[in-house]
Order: sequence, then C-alpha cells, then structure tokens
Amino acid sequence: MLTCAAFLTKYAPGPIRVEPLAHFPVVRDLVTEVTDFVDKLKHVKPWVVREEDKPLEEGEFKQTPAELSDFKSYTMCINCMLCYSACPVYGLEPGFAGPAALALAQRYNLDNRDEGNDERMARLSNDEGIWSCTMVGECSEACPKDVDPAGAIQRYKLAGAAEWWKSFITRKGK
Amino acid sequence: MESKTGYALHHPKWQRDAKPIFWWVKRWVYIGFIFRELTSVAVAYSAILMIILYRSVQSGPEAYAQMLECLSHPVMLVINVLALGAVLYHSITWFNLSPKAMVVRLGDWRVPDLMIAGGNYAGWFLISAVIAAAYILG
Repeated sequence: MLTCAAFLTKYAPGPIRVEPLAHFPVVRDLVTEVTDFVDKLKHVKPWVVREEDKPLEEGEFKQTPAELSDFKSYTMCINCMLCYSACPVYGLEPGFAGPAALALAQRYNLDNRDEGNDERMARLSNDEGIWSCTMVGECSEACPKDVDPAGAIQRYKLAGAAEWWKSFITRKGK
Repeated sequence: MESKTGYALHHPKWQRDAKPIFWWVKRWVYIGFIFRELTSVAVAYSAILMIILYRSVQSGPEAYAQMLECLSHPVMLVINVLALGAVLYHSITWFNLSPKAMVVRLGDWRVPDLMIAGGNYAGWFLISAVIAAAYILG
C-alpha cells in the first residue's frame, strides 16, 4: 500500500511491517534503486507518437468521451511501482517490462491521437514484454488507483496474437 | 586549458535478494496461481489422450477394445478423474478471465464483463450438448 495514503491508526494495534519495495535493489534502509523502472518506462514510449506532426492551423485533436473512456483508467497510473513489487514474474525475471510500463503502453495504443502502436508492438510483443505476463493478477490488486495493469496486458496480448495471425496469413497468401 | 577531471557516478553497493524457489507458498493467491498453471499439464495430457484414442478408433475394433481395457484400469481411472477436474478448473478460470482480454463495444455501449464470460460459457455448454446429443442419438 502507499505509505502516503495509509493512516497508522487504521492498522492499530499492529504489528506493522515496514520494508523496502520488493524486487528492486536496496541502496540502504527503505531506499531502493528504481532506474530499471524508469528505463522500461522510456522504452515503451509513453507519449503520443505521431508519424507527422499536425500543423497548428488544423487545430486541436478531437476525442469523444467514448474514445477517452477506452483508456482513461490507464491514465491514472502514478508510477508508484507497487505493481512491480506485487508481480512475482518481475521478481523472477528482472528483464520483464513489468505491469505499469505495459499498461501505459496500452494507454497510448488505445488513444486515437497516437500512431505508435506498431512500434510499441515490435518492442513489446516478445519474451520480455507482454508474453512474460502469466496473469497472476496481483498487480491489479495492489494498484492504489484501480488501473488494472493485468487487464491492460491481457488486452495487449489479444492484440499481439491478432497481429501475429494477420502477418502469418498475409505471408502465406503471398 | 581544458580540465580533464571528470566525475564518476555514485554507485552504492546494492542489495538484491534472490527469490526463493518456494516463493509461491507464502500466499494463497500465489498457490492458486501455481495450481492454475499446473492444470496446463492436465490439458496437454487430455489432448494427447484424445489423439491416442482417435488413433485406436482408426486402427479397428480390436485396438479400440484394447484401449478401453487400458483406460478402465483403476490407476487410469484415478488419473483421468483428476485430469478432468484439473481441465474443468482450467476452463472455468480461463472463461472467467476472458473479459479482461476482450473489450467489446457496440457503438458507445461497452458489453458488460458478465455477458462476455456468459457468452463463453454458453458456447461451451452448447458444443457439449451437441456432442452429448450426437453420442446419445448416434
């Protein structure tokens, strides 16, 4: 749980166990080294990718409430890394991109302004990306913002499988 | 003159605990997860058994009778009952997870999770009913 959002009185009379974030190397006491997470976050390009920038004269991008609702829950991620701490796969295979990074990748994939889906798929449809997730589901349980990274990754897997079949059939057809 | 003095990045000694092999026995959720993963073995076993059974049917009545005799052995019965239970558990957890992966929209309306899982169950029962009917009537 987030210590900034937890009241000790709620857990009285205890005992309470305070320990550093699991699965990250400990520098000292409760201080962990989280560069790995930051690197993985950058790797998934968590921003709106455009093949060509739209000229300013054309005005803003339009987005309907229905289009926004498709990914809104994933925008709530605050990068607290509790999902990494809860994910046994990340603990066993530190190369795994991890729940938050994949959920944020999916957040931009589902954004109708974004055009980076193919690039992200090429980066993440592999053993260190979506296919490492074994759907333990604890990331979604641990998330304090109800982001549901496990659900995001399963949706991403479905898109990855569909993409593979599409390319397989196209290859066979040639 | 340009100074060649550089700064080295501070890199404290980190402590990284290795995950013990029995990490999953600490919580019921993890035990359930490992059990769910293990049921895949039963799914593979059932698929292979089905292929062997099919081959015996192809090979004639004698081979089929021999196969049935082998399957009626008490050890095989116990194995197959356990495999059936594991396959059912695997299927149920699979169908329950399906709404996580499938987000279906009809216009602005998002089809509820219950309906997606329910659709899977309905398909399962329908196919089972057709097979059962073909067996009983045929």
